[in-house]
Amino acid sequence: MTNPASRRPAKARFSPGRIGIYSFLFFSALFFALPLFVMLITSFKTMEEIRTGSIFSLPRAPELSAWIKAWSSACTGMTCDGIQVGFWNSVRILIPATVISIFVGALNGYALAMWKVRWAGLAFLLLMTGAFIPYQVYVFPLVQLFALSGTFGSLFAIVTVHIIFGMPVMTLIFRNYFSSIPEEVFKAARMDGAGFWWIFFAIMLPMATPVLIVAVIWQVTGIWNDFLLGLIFAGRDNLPMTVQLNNIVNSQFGEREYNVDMAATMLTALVPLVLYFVSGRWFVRGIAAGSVKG
Amino acid sequence: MRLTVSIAALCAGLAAPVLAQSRAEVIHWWTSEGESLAVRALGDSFAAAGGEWLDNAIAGASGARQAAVTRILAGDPPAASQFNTGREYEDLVAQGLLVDISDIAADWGQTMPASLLAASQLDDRVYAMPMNIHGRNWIWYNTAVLAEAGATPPTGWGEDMFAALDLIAASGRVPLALSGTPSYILSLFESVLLDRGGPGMWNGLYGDRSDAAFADPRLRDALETFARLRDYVDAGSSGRAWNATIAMIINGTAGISSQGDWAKAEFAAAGLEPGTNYGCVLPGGVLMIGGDVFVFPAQRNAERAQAQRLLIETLADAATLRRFNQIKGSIPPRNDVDMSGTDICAETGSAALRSQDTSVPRLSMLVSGTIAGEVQDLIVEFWSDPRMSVDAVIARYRDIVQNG
Amino acid sequence: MKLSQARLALLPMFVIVVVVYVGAIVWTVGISFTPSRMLPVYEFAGLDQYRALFRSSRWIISMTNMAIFAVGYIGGCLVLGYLMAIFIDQKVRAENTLRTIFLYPHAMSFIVTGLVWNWMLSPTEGIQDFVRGLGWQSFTFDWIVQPRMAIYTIVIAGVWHGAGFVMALLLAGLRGVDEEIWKAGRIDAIPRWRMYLHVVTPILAPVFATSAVLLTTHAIKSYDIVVAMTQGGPGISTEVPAKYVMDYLFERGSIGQAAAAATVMLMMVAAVAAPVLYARSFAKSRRG
Repeated sequence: MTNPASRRPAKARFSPGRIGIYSFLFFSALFFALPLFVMLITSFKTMEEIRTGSIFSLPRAPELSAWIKAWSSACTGMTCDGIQVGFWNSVRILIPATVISIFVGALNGYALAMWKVRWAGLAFLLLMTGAFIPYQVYVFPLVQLFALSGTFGSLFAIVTVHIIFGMPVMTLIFRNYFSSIPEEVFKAARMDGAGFWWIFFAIMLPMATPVLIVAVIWQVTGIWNDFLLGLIFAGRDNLPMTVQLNNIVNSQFGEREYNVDMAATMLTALVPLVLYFVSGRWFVRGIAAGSVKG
Repeated sequence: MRLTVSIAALCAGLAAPVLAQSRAEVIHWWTSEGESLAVRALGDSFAAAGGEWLDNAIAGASGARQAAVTRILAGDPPAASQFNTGREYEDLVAQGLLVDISDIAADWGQTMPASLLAASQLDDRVYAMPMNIHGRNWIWYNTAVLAEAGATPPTGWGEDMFAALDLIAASGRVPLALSGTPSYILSLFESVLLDRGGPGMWNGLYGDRSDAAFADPRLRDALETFARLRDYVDAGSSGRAWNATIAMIINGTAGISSQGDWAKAEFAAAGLEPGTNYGCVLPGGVLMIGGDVFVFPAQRNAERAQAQRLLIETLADAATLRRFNQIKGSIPPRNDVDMSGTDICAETGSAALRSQDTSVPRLSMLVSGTIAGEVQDLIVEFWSDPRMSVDAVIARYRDIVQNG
Repeated sequence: MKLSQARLALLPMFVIVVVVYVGAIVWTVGISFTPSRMLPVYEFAGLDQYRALFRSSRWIISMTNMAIFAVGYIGGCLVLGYLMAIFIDQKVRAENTLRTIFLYPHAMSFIVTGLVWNWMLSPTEGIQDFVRGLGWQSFTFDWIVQPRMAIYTIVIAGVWHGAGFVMALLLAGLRGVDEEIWKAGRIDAIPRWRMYLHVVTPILAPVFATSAVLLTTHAIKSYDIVVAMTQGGPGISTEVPAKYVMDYLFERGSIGQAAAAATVMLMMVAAVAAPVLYARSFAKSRRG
């Protein structure tokens, strides 16, 4: 696909229409950015200033101490090491959970869209139905399942849980994507004698690069931000950094340091934010190739 | 199975110092900076006794409880887990999942408020260890704001209170600072209820749950007084955090507030002195108590059980309790713990604790979580909906408590 | 047999659907007929939990709120997301920056962004206070403390959170529309807005459908946004069913009641989804 934007017709630069477009986008951006603005300025204020000043006023003397504290010295229980503690645990959960859940979703989507398997449609329907229940409801039976298999409280358990809860959306995205690929591609491959796995790995998966990026963004955001499942299933040695984040921002009693809360939240969000930024281009093109023609 | 056991035994044999086995994991929700210090005092005591405290802090009671209960169900229980004092761990006891600590608690009958001990017991066996007591129904006021408005400090929720509130309103300040969140709205009502009805009314409603208690005119009076207070809070009260509410008293934007004794930490942090800069009133002279307990899930592994035993003994130690409560700013659960050097508000509270006539357990210590939750829903709905009649509230109230 | 390979590939899905999803649903429905409190017990209690559920005024309000939230949130995200996508697609400057600004709410946990929304909407410290400070003394924006309006502040924050993703999906869709269609439109001198309304929008129908499904699951499952912003208040005016389930599941220790609420939610989803899915599968089988 060539750069789609370049095919747009050129437009006059300062017509009333252009002004309208820019003012709409400007005000939308204002609406979206306002909470981020409040978070940013709050994170650079002292607690004294937060208590006494307006939430919209700029910090008198911006300081970084809240950010440093959030990262490395905020108390989260008996220890006071900030949110950095769980960072590598989060990475260790994130990578296998993202890779496997996307692979499984892609495989499901491909098999559902291109092959006729009995009961598959019904299974997909049940899967999508399950996606409407708050997942906390599943916690009790899942805990008992993992306890029975002796894998409760391990990296394996938390990765499996993420695969399970990622399955409906992943399968949906890939199924819709693969059904939009012209049937001729599939038929030609079959004609050449290609089998199920060959078509998947050699033809379909390479064609799915764009939608893979979409899936990566969806899964990374969800898995990285998960707190409850990690807390319950990961075991004490694998707790993700969101547990620390929750301890900082969600303490009920004692002083609440809003500047540290804001800094910790933004620091935690950096991984998905960087991903959005670097993949923005493919992200959009990915969806383009994926779900448009559906 | 036998193989795992022998491997475990082998590992135990290799790890030579016996003390190394005394690792005990503790789930709790003391995650703020001040609370962290208090937890460290517990951990230090355990270390001094030869144990190793494995800290598992999870902010928010519901998250921590959830982690604990799922871990217990999965057969991988922590050595100790924090709960609110109350009936919520009854189910765990019923299924034999908690350790009976009656032997440790043998003399608690003499040293602990009866209601607190009762809330830690089931069928005369003790399953929970109270760590601290918090009074929940205090009235706090800013002395300067009241003086400026020409108001005399109130003694409870009677006419003197409304006179003071009117004067503060006339002086252009917010009369009543409220944290308009469900639990604090309920606490405000309970503060009024105890002022009107005292322990008799309280035990009638939640102990006997009799029709007579719900027909008592003092209940109606309490609800009507509570409803009158709607006119004295500011528009921003809805959803406001408790500390932001106390900050209004500290910086003088508001005159009076109702809050638990954890508010004192905020006053202290701002450099305000009890008795001079701010005042405390115990409405009706009755203290409503709540607090935190530890429960000890039954262990399958002998070494873990041994470590847990050491932990239980450490936590029950008077010196440990004193240090913990000093740092945390709460009242120790037992009167054999010496707490000298406390302030006037703490003294009032401790005095009220000594008698059953001047202290009552909080709602969740008396009724199931479902009933407590539904009472809260009802009171919160009543607070925000002036169209609800007091009769309708009483009828639903009775229905929830009697049939819930 | 090639088919068996496809079946083999789908085996994990079949296992997870049967063991986890169907298993958990059956378990949940089963538990809703028991008096289970904090721990599951397997005694039959008939319809007690359902009776308690529908007697609760909080549950009734929750259901109404979910309907309001779902309509406002799904509609708001689709409309705003589509408008933003169309406007961004007009060869504007700083497209990357704009897109990132619209998307970032998706990456942040609601615990803190909800708190910020609470501050901004609070009449005493937020936007109302700010505007009044500028001199417009009669300016009023206090929905968050008005029981009848507070649910709409949840809608606003929800749209803020979700519209960016819809924008990205639809922008991608717009980029994929065949250039020939635009050319044809220009030759026939059809105004651009009519092209969008009558030609492009129908082409994007599948993207709208995918977005709507994702948004619907969020609309039904969301409770963290309410907890962070209003805790259900003022009063119980912003309570939602998912929060009801959470409260009973963990806070109030009554998994029987939580299961009954979850079962009712599931039945509502099924009631809404069944006809849609039926229609879609019908359309699909006709095509293929």
